[in-house]
Amino acid sequence: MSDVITKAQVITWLENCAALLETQKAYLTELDAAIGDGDHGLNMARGFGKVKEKLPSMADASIGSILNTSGMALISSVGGASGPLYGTFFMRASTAVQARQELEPMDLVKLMEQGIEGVVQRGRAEVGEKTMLDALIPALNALKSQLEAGAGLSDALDACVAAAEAGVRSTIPLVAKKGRASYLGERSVGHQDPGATSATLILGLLRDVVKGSGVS
Amino acid sequence: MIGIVLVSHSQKLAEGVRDLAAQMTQGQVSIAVAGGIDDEENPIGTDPIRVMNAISEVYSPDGVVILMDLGSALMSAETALDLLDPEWRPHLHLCAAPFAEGAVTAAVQARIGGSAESVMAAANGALLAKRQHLGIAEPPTAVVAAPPPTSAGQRLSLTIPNKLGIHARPAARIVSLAGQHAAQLTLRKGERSADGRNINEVMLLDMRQGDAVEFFADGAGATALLDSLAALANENFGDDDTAAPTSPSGQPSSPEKFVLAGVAAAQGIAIARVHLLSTHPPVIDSALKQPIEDEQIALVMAVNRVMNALQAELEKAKLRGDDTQADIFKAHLYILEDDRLHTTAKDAIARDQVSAAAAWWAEIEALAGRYRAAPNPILQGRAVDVLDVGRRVLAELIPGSARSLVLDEPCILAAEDLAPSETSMLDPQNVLAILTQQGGATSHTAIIARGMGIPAVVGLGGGFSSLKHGQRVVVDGGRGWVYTEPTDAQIAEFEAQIAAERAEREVLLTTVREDAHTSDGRRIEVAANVGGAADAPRLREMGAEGVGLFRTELLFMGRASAPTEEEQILAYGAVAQALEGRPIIIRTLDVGGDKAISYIKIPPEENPFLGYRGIRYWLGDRPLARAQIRAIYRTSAQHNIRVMFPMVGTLEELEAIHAFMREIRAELDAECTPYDPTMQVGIMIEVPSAVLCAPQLADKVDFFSIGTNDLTQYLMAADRGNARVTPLATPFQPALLTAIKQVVDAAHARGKWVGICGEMAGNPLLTRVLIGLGVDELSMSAPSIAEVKHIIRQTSSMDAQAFAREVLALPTAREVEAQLKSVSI
Repeated sequence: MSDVITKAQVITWLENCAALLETQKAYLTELDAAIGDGDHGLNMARGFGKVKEKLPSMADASIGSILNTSGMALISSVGGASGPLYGTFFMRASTAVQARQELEPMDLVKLMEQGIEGVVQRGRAEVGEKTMLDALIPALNALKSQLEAGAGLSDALDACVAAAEAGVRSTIPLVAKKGRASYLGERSVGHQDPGATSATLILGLLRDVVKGSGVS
Repeated sequence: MIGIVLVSHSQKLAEGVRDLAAQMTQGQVSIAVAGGIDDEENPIGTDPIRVMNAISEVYSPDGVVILMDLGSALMSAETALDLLDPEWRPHLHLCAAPFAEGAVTAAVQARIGGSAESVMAAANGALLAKRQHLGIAEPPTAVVAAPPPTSAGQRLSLTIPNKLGIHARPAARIVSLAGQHAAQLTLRKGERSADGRNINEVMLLDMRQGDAVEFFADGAGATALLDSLAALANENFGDDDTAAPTSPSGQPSSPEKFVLAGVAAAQGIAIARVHLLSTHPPVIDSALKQPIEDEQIALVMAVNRVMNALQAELEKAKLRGDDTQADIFKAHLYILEDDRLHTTAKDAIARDQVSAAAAWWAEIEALAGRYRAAPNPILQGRAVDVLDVGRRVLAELIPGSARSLVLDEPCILAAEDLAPSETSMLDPQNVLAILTQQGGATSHTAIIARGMGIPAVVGLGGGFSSLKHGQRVVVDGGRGWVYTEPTDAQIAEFEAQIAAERAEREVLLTTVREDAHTSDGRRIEVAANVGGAADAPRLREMGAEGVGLFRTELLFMGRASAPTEEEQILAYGAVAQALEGRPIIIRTLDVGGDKAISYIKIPPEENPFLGYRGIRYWLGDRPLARAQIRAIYRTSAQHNIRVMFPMVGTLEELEAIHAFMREIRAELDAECTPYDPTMQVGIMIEVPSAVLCAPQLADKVDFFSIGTNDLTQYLMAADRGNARVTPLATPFQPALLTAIKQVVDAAHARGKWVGICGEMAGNPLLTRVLIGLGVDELSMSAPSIAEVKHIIRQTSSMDAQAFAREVLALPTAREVEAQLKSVSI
């Protein structure tokens, strides 16, 4: 593999997201049922299903345009809070890469930074409140510090996903401060956050695609 | 006219609320709905695109007010605003008002041509009238003392005719009429007045049937408006009458001369000098000592520290089964969890350039003031909680600012008010009575004083200020009286009364340490349930003959990892030390169910009470189990220790436990580590299968301890915490008594003994029947011991057996309960 992410890889990644979220529907819904309204799996599968429908018409578009279209598809189809959140992530991310046809490693950092900034603004959340940010922010930090230290994209993504996974586990003892789960207060303790889980699954697929192990 | 958009997860809810609002405004306000999502199978959710379309439907430069139900509705609405023409943005208003009340109120205000601000304000105030009606209102800030009516205006005086008074619908009719006429309308009731175009002010005027109300109208349409209002009043304000509520009121009885009357909060008599506790308000330096952001961070951290401490205290109180304390800590947590409080204080730091302490205290005093002004006495009492928890945070911000309660000699403590946390720290040796200016019989101070046996008179009001530091007074807590200038004869009389009470208590106290036997000589061991070493020192003096249940959960909570073997040995040893050689039954960690421990990862379960808990978890976590059982064995080398395992339901589990213990003994033998190989091993009986298998299980243990709390809920399949089924989960259920009988018989047939360590054991109503069923040991929270021992000593075991047979023959819980109550002493 080379140290760039091609447009084809981005498309494969999004297709893989649709496929994986469909198979993980029950798992995410089960996590959400424990502390939320139990629709996260369903919502994510529906949202990325819509994204997948849009992809064939995007073969000639730029990466920015693909991400923007995906964001809009998520916003209009997810139904829960993850719609505006993931939608905003992708739409903001798209402004970081604009008309690119392939992404340098640091483009990926910028893309994530912008996307996460959008999620922070939309959700008014921060690390430690049992949200997807508990996975995304450590993941971004790991990716950035590995790349800055001279690591290759593949190794940096490994570290990024490992950090996201640790982040997901870190949500278990937390008290939810945002969203429906926050109504449970202390009773949300002991449960893994579904949003952080789906974010980690999505990052994992990006890593797999870049390393060439992801199948279309 | 302002347009309204209703955003809901449910299309049906959005449409229903729209219909409600339309009914109040005769369909004259533009209301658009954005409900649900485009998925027939799962239609619940919110869709920013639908919100966008709904806004477009009703948009005009006058503005649009958007109400949302919850959760993603907010984010979807915000996303929709981002997607719309930026020029519209200043005219779009997201409104945090409650969905149904807010929509109805907003529509009424929109219909009379209100601005966006007035529509938002009306919607945001929509809960006030509801809260006021339910007696949980904050002070009606919207309603102020009546301004002098305008001289030029016209006046209409009315007596409110309809039974329910001016509630939401009549108020909407009044506001609506006001909006249709070119006149300013002011309503006046007594000293208060309201703007006739503001629905919240009209409702908060709280006009009830029979109230005299004046309507002042000023302007070209004044006559027409008052005529319409008179007509509306003639139509009973459009109401079809049904019954209306009334409220009673009571006053304390009038005092004699030199007697202050307050609320009798806790019984008992005390004669001593008054120690007047200064209310010295904490000294707060409002000058900024560090950058604004640092002050803000200091505040957030102080609040967090107090919340963490409260959380830990709450867990401990729950484990002790101390509901009163737990409720106080919960109430304090609720207060701190209100984001508005910190946000306002944080904003004030920046706005007023003051220290975190000053901003926080101003906010706390304002909030306490609002509670004090509430019409409802229960809410007024919350002011104490607010100040209490507020002071705790303050003490974090200003070290040393907590007020000292250390008293050098026995006295009567008098304070304007005592914080609940202060009351619970009092030393009953030196505080002979408590007097407060504020508070009622249900205040925390009163409840805790009762629990600690300290006489208390609260709510002395104005009379309080006549108390002087050092003055000798007599307090009669039972009547709620304070004799400020007692005569010698009165003092002599009260002293005699105190002496008699003391003698009675001393008899009880000297016998409470003695072992309990029935009147015909059968030994019943009375032990205490404890959660940790902190509980131990007073146990012997309270009559505990041992510890029947040492809940080890507390040792494992509130920390980042499990306690080490050595830490556990220290904790177990400390309790054993305090019990002077009496047996201590240590229960291994019972995690799961409702007991969560942060570093113990039990995956989410649908049904945690039927899940991976107790021994089921423990046997699977070898490192944790090994450290605990080693600690227990090693403690047994020095002390009288027994071990007990929770949630055993099968013989296999018990065999697995024995195999594991054999392994550990082999380990200890190999290390030459001393332990007691004859340490008694028991199990809790709380899973119904264990009742049925009791004969087989009894062969493999030294004792059973029946955990009646869990056994009852498993036996009855009724959650103790679920109010709708709690009547099923009572200790009077014939099935439960039969289960206890079976377990006792099975154990005694094999020479094993049986204890009870649930709440039942400490319930004096049940003591006789439990003796009669053959139970050998009762373990309870320490304060119950004296009374239970007293009953044991008065009971003959033969009579108790006959009594138990009678009770067992009763077919229903109701009859069992009635029978026990009819013979209780």
